[in-house]
Amino acid sequence: MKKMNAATVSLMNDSFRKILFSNPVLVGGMVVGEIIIGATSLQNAIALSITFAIVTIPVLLLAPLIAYFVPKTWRILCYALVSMSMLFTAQAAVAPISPTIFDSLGIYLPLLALNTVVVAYSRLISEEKGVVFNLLDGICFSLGFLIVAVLIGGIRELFGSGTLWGYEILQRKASALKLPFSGFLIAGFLAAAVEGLRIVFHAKPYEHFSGGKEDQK
Amino acid sequence: MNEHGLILQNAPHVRTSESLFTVMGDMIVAMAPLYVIAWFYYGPRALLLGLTGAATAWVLDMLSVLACGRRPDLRDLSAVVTGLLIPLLMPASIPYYVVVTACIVAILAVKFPFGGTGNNLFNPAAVGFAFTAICWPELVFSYPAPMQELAVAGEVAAKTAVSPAHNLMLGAIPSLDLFDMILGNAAGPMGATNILVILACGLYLLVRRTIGWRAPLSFLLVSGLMAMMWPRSPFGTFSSVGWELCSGMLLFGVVFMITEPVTSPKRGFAKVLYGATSGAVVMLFRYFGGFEDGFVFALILMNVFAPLFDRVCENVLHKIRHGTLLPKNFAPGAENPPKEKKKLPKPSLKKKTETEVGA
Repeated sequence: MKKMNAATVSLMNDSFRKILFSNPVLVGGMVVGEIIIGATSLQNAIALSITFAIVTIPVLLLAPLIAYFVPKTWRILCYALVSMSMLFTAQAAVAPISPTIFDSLGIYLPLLALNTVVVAYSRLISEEKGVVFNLLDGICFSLGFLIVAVLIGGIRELFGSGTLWGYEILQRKASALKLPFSGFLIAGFLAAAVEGLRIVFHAKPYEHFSGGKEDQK
Repeated sequence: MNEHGLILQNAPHVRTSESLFTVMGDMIVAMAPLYVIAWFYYGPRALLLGLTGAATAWVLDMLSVLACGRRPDLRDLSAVVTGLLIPLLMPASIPYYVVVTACIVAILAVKFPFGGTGNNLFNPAAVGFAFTAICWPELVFSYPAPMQELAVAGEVAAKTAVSPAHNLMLGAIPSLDLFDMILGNAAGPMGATNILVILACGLYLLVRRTIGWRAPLSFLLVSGLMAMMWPRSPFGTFSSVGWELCSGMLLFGVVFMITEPVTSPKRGFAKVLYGATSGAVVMLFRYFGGFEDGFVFALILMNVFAPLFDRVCENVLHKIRHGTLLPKNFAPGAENPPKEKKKLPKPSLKKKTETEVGA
């Protein structure tokens, strides 16, 4: 088996950390609002994750190209344009999940198209990196988003509505879990769990989330 | 003791007998009569509800302390007080799982994320109750008629009655005598209906100095004033005051919840302001809120502002004491005179020689 060189290893490490120990939602604090308000059931969570992946990965891939041609002032608009045009694809991909998915998510799918990763992260980091790095980035961000959305959506649907993917499981339900404040609570507990795991495994957070102090030394 | 006959100790040098144990013990002693009365009205189910709440809260508290990596303190009874408060706010016919849920929310979501005993931002019992009130309003706000023994376990088939607070919300004529209400012979929360016993408990806590008098007094004054000015009962102003103050969980909350030392302001005048604003907000919740009693929701709202009252009073009182609240030479209607600029000597970078110092 061919040995991987050091640069590839660090690239893989950097990206795979974004799935858990540098999760975009729980550690980076990006795209929190859409998850907390939108992810009230498992179906919603999956729909949000698919939309996030379809909308974000092309922007990260195109970021170096756009940065080459477009002046700084107009770049965010270009990213938004790309993500918004991918939104139609995402809506087509999401539609088979449930006929009522657009009613329950409503404005949050278009809002998700203009998320923090598209607006800020692509401009700060992706422009300077290569295509492979950006592709890995996009996939790992999407996976991280998927994990958090499924956990929050699953917990809230199971205990808030007593169902899971629409099938009835529990008799008793605490409907307050479907309100936004419970989303904040569960997200906070998950963030604490990730931090605990990070301490246990001695993992470093991604430098752009921790202010970059550790890696500058 | 060292050779000079002195006791060497690290700070803090506590010289009063008051401690967390005595304060929380006082609260438990004060709540005991309410449980006895609830037992008299509704049977042993009331006591079992209290035991369930206290045990759940205490066990969760100990587990959380252990999870934080601290040593559990067996003399810390604050979780027991939280667990005993929650069932008293609920009807006696409440299922046990509602009490357990409220305790879980109170300890795990309100108390420990902020750092445990003494650090909570909100009143844990209030948030636990509010959570269950949002989840199961049909259980939490349906009260059994008093003087009937409820089944200890299983489904409770109780004759329900309309509580005075609900009557007031509908603007209907109250079906009860005010005297009955004072004796607690009215449908309502398990521990909050018996006005006389609550007042006696409040007096005990006041004498023991476990609670202060400022916040309760200003609270009652303001809410009574508002009830007098905008009465909801059709019997005129003064009976309106009686009905408003005796219905729902208002008086119980005044004695046991608004005086909680952690979530209320620390300064004297801030406590007065806190009580007065809370009274106004509680009455506004009653006039415009969706539930029949918004005391708990108003309390949660006011808990956020408690540090603000402290800070404002700190600044304003300091300025009043030093006479600097108004600018100097202040005359209403006249323009303020321009401030004289003091000329500060420029700091010289030159090192002072020995001769200059000598001169």
